[in-house]
Amino acid sequence: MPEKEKIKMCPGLLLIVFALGLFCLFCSEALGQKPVHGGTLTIALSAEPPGLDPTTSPAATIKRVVHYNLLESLLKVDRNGKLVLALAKSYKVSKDGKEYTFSLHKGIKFHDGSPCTAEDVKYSLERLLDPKTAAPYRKYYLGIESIQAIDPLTVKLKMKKFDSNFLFNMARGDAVIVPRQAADRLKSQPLGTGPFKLFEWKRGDSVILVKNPDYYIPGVPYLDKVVFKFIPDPSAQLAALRAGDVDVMAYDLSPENADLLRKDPRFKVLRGHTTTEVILAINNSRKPLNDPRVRQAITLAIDRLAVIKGAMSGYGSPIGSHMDPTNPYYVDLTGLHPYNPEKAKQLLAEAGYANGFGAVLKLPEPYAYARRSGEVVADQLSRVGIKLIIEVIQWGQWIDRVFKNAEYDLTIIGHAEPFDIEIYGWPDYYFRYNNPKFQELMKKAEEEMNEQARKKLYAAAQRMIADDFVNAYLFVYPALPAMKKEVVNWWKDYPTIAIDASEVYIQK
Amino acid sequence: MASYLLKRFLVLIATLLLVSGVIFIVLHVIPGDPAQIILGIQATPESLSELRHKLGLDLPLTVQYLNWIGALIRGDLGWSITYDVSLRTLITSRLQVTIPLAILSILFAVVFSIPLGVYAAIHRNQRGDYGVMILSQIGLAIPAFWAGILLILLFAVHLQWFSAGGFKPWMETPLGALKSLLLPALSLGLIRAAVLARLTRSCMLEALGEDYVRTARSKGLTEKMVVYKHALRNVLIPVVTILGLQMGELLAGAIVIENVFHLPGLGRLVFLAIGQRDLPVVQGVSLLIAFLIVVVNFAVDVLYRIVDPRIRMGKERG
Repeated sequence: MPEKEKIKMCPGLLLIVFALGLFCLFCSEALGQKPVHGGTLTIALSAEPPGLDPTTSPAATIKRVVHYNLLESLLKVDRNGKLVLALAKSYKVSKDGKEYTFSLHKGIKFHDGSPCTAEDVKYSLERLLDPKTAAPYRKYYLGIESIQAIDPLTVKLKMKKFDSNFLFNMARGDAVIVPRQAADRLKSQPLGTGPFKLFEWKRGDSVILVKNPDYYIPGVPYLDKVVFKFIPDPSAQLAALRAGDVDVMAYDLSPENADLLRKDPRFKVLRGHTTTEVILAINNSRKPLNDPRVRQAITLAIDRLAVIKGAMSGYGSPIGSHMDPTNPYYVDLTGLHPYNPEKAKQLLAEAGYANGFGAVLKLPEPYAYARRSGEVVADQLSRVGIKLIIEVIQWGQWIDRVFKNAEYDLTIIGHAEPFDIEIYGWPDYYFRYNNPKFQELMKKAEEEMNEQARKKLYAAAQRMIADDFVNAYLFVYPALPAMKKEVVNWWKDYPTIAIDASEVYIQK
Repeated sequence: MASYLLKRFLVLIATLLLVSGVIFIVLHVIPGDPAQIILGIQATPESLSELRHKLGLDLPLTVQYLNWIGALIRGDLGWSITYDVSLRTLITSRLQVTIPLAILSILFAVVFSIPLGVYAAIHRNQRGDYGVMILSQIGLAIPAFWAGILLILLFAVHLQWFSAGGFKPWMETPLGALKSLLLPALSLGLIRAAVLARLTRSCMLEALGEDYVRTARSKGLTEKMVVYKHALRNVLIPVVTILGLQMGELLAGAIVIENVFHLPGLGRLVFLAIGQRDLPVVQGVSLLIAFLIVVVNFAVDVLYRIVDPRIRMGKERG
């Protein structure tokens, strides 16, 4: 997040960033192409969003469809994982880091034609903070002490204390700016400022968006219509793409089909990163897993590349800690504790398990990557004497048993939230990792105003959980967006949850 | 007939009450707190309790159940949590997919199976018979979803005659709607056709050995008359029974096919609703499916009386 860096080094500096549209125009022209206006883009997604309000549900499926396209926040994370301006034209941070002043772009209108002003920003954030709204991520905004609309285009936030993650949180889909008159109907009638407007939600089938002609960035978006079509079965999505019914398969191309599709000249498959860290989560409170030597043995017994090859057809990047490579604080720790089954056996013997031990690996049924990785991991662990019994369980059960009550030994799951290393500071979290040193480190990092110092703190945090072998870190889930050759400007990486269709166009 | 209908009606009410109770209990016993599933794993306790309150989940179970039943009696099916729309609207739109799909696949099954079954029986142990039997064996062995995938590969991906799935509403394009249901109905109908063809064949063989057929033949009737007028009518009784059973299965069991062809039908609705713990939808749709099955069974009973005069007479005398 280089923006933050600048602010920290010279506080009070006013930042003005070029409108995204210009930037993108520049980008595509640099490639020798001119964006084409018009056309309909049909995007296949596997899960239909449970409602269209990103503020009262944490479902990623909602943000994918509505955030950036329909509803916008003051800031956003761009295709490179950088924090950039969105509705805010600029912002200032006070010297003590406890006051943010945002200036809005002139002439922003909601889809109903009413102007979007500082009052709407104030209303939207206050709504998020109101317990009655039941916002799942309310806690990210609790640091706000007061919100003041200074003039129609300026809003000032006073904070209880400095929080280094605050600007990042302002870019979340939870912090979208909505008008008071539409806030109660967001779930079925999301009304915002985005480059597209909701045309129709055909429940069970699709969400159809149309171009917002009054968008405040001239020339954007390029497409006239965007259709998010919900096709639950990945192989049915693939068939729909090949039959020409859909133009893009955004998330659900299975790794083994990626190679197949690459050979077809009608399509292209991009190969990028997501923010989803797939981990073998360990219940640190259960015997014998509470012994760090046992956990170390588990990590050393796992050959990450073999897991990626066996479960993901080779797509996906290994990780050595709980951070994805698109994150600016990422440090590569894959070489820290490399595959070493001999040492794993030795460690088990030291811990008193020379003949190994048995444990249960609970795998969430909806996720193929988890089920497949589970089989490979179980095989690898059996070679050092750890005998795993695999139990595939329903998602509701996983949430209840594993996540809420930590009734498990081992499980495999992907943590999709970007930048979520803070969860290791929560002793009640399902890993049951209670290390006061780590909790102290997180607190320091959140309060640290110097970017370089903060970077060091987050690097130390990544190293600490890797050295404590809290979990075994497997790989980052690959982004494999597949589309017709004519589709241009689709995001290669998915550093945030939203799908941004505003810069995408169809080449003729 | 009137007392018979009344009896059936009471059975219907009792069945629905029982089903509603079972659905309600099961949904509240299985793990998975709806509020937690809706708000996800990072939600704060305050948000969770606020949502539970909003959804009425903090009330005692008996009160929740009685509220639900009370609303049902007033004709209020409920409100979907995820779709933010009344269940009545939701179900009406879904039935436009599920009912025609069920009827169409039964139609496919009947059109293929009965003539084939009769043909096989008449040509018993000849080449044609073997052909039909092999075909039906294959039909039985292929699961509907696999048949669906094969049909998509052939007709949508390679030939590009049909789209690979999805549904066009009847109001917009009736022909398009029908077209989007053809492949799913065919894949659902195949296995049913296979079952029915075998059943028709064996029943027909049995019927052809009966005394009344010998009598008919000795009266000098043509073979055609014997088969179609005398034997087939008797064959239809077990066929109608199985068809009725299959109809219920079709309504509840189209889930897989609706997923393969991504049709916005009732099966997919309830399947998603279970995952998202959209309790009003799960309860409402399960009850509706139970209701439809009971009604179909009733219709089958009535159909018997039309097909088989013996049942009609017997019941009315008794």
